[in-house]
Amino acid sequence: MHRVSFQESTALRALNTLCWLCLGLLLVGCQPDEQSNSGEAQQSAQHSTEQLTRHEQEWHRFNDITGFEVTLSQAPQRLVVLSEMDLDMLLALGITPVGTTAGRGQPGIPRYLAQYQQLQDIRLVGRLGQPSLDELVQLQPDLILVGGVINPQQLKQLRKIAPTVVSYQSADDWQTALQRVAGWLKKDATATQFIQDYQQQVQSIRQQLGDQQQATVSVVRWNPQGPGYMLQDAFVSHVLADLQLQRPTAQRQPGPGHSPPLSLEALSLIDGDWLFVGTLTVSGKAVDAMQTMQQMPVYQSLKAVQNKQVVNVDGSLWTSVGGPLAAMAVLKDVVDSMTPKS
Amino acid sequence: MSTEKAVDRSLMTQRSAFWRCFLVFKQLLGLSSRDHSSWVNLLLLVFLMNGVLIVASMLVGAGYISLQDSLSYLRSLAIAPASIQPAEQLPATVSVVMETIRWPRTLAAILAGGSLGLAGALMQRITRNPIAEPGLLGINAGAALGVVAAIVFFAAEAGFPYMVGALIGALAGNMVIVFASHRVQAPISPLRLVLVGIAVNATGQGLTAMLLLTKQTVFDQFRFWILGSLAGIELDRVLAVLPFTIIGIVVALLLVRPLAALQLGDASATALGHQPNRTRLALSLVIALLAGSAVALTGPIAFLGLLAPFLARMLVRESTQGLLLMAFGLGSALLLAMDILGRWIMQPFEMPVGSMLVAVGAPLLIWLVRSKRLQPMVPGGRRS
Amino acid sequence: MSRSHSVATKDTGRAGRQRLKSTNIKKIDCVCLHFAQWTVSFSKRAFYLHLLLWLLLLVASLFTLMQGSVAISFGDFWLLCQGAGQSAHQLLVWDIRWPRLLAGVLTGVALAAAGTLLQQITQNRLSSPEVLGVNEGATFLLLLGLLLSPLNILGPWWLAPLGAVLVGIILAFLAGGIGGRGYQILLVGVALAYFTRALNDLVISRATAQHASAVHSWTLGNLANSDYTELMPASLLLMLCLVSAFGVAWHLRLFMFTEPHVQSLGVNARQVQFMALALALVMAGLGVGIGGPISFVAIAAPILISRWLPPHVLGLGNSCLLGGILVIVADTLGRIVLAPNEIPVGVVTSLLGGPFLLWVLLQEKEVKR
Repeated sequence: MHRVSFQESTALRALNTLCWLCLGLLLVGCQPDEQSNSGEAQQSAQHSTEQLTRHEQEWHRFNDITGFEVTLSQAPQRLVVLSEMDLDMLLALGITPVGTTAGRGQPGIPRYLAQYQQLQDIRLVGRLGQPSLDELVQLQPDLILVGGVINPQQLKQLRKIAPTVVSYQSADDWQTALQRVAGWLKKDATATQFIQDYQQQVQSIRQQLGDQQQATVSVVRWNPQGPGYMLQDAFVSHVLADLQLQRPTAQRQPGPGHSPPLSLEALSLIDGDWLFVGTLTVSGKAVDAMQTMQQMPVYQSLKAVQNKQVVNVDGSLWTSVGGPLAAMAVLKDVVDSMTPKS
Repeated sequence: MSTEKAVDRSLMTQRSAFWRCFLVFKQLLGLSSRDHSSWVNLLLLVFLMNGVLIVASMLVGAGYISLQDSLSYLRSLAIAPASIQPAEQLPATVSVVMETIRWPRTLAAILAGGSLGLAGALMQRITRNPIAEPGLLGINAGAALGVVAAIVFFAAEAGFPYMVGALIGALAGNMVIVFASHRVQAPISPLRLVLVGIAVNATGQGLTAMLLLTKQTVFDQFRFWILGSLAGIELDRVLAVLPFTIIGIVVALLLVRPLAALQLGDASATALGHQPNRTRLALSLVIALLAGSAVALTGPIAFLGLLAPFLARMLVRESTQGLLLMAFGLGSALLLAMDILGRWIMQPFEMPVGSMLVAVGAPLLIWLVRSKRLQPMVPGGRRS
Repeated sequence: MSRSHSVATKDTGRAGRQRLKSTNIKKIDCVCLHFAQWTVSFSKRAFYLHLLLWLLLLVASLFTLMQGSVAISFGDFWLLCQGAGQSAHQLLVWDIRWPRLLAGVLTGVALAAAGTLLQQITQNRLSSPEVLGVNEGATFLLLLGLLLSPLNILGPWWLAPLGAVLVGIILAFLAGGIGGRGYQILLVGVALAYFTRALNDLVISRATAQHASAVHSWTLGNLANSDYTELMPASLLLMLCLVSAFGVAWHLRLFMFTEPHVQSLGVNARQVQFMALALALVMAGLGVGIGGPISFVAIAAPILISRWLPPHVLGLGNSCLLGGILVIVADTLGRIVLAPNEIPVGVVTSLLGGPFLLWVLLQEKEVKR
């Protein structure tokens, strides 16, 4: 009889590792059917076969901005949005989604949308950019809308759950995005009407501004280490550009977000005729600290402060990525603060 | 003697208040004003360097105040110290920036840097280990956790409440280190100490990350604070922390003799009439106080407690109190220098001072390890 | 430890026991399996532990597949295994949780294996990829990929092993060699880890605010959105490395003796060290590439295993299994506790791992064999 210890024998260990290898290959290589790298292709193939067989029942077929083709057999009833702009756009088109991610840096839906009653029962599916796939599956959506910064891996996973479309890129103008989404959902009329209302509002505000038309407007997102100003391709910059209001020279830098926190000594860079300062939450540390900063002498020496032309605004509206309703709300803020009171 | 007298006289004309304070300080320490051993002169030089750096810190900024304006502001201060009237030709912003931004920042750098340097020197003396420091050993992480927890659970304001949170956190971290290091009489191997530090650091950072993740609203602000930075510090915050730092320094200096006795080993120290365990306990409290006050001001900064005592040891070999004072002085000088650099290189934004210190401190640690300085400390064990 | 010495058979039956008693052999610590004319003896503890760990892995996998924001009952799960069941559940379990489970197991296996090998090379129970800065180095290259890519997504998975190997080379260079009675390499590793972490923080702060929170979450170790396309090549590479690691593992156990001793036993110490280090680095990098820099698995798994095994057994397989179990349990906990928000798996492991490490350190004596 041959006796051998497992730990010593190279042959046995090689055999053992070979078993591991096979097991590993088995686990990883042998997957449940229908899911593989070509998931998207298969899904669109499925969609196209559906399309061939039920051609007369097709409601709409379109491509999103990444070129992914989606065929919907009927008007989608259950939509889920994974960004603030998408939520905003759907509400503007009169559609209420069934699920959404929280606003940027906030515990729930963006603050400026809290007034809309139809959002009371909406389901939260996670943080911005980190949706819980479990929740999404449970919601059984017909269509998922994402936008802004996209993670291809996440997109692939989302497309297994439901047709997922990317509705806008980071630097896109909200009007383009709105018309695009409206075209997909066959709500072009609503979108056109909304944009017309917006243009009218813009014109009327420009009239009301009077001599403030030439004022420079500085928009700042507050941070304890120092404020960061919004860059030129940010959402609020688009709205202000529609109003033909200038930004201070230092703030005319391209980019969709905001600058890193400025040194407090360079606070003059946020100065302008008007200063709009926002925080992401309405209370809490940031606001307290902002109020402290507002008592600092270096802040008091800003021209805008001395002219009493500083407005504290909702950061979730002004310093985030808003949409159509946000644009209207920004216009309202501008009217309330910048037009001379009669 | 004559050169020293010449130095004295010139200092008297320019920094009279400072020199007088120093003389008084020397008397408090029990040194006569005639005691001009070499380390006192070196200490003097270090304080002088600090003075230069203070002036430089007041002159440099990430903003747009010209050098001439800053200089004339300082000159106006020096010439008429009693009545601080900014000259009419200077814009008001200059005095505002100087008083409310640069001065608190400079003061904070001195306090935080000095506290961390002193705490590092004390830790190295207690553990008889040249790489012990509050950052590496997780005390700073504990203090940071204390601050974040105070904010999240108690809605703490900056200033005194931060200090309390930081102190409790630093004490907790220190407790663990002390408990882990005092199990044996022999000097603890540097490795084991660092690994305990990594564990405490990781726990602290993990809990902090957890708190920040669950409170998204807090994450945005503390993203930068956690790196360690002097931006946005106000004078009342500095003044709230100042008493604690002073208490820490005074107690540390009072314990100089027992600390020196500790170096001889517990048995000899007891034979000399000291009580080593009580000394260690008291010094641990002082370390927690100093580290906590530094973190409450600036956020957790690592490697300063390593750099400053290392340089101090090169300059002062024989005297414990000299070493402690030198560590304080060098710590504040280092932090001031790093802060000035951070404000200068990325105008109008600022580089956090914590990142820059790591860039200097990490290579130093590597060099320390490779040189033979650590060899006598290691008991030669294979396991940790 | 020659061949003739190792074997002690355990024959069943009273005669066998009588014989044992009479010859006064110490308590048997082997399990012997008989195959025809061959008897293979396993270290008893290692054998049973292995079986136990497979069982635990199965239980943990079921836990992962059934729990989450949406809990699936066992009846439903049984239906799913048979191929039936609601399509929503099918989607959830097979397309979302199953790849995540695989990714978690692979990451755990990779990190635990890397930790075991590193501990053996440096003969220090507490060295691991994160202490030595290897995880940070892997993260750094991935973050560089983020900065340089036009789409602003993290770099591809193979950057991570590359980063790990680069850091390993720098580490070896700075510490003046790998082997020996390695406190030196650990301290240098700590310094390097700090340095690289500061670099990573710098890179993250350069990322625009829209990314910062997501990237920050990834750098804590996050298994979300795991997908097969990345898993396939990474896991193949991992399997290859594991096979080689098993080959080297036996020789590594000899490192508890001094180097002349090792040489006298006929083992080329330098070669073995180099091989083991290279494998450890690549596997650590793979772990980071698949699941992000998950902390403490690499330290905890080998230490826990070595507590239960006799000292001459390395327990590489057992460590890998335990690593896998730890990761998937931590991941599932992270998904359950704050639903619908997910806590990244790295946060859970560091929360549990920090105190664990402290406990281990406080328990150990100063010099322990």
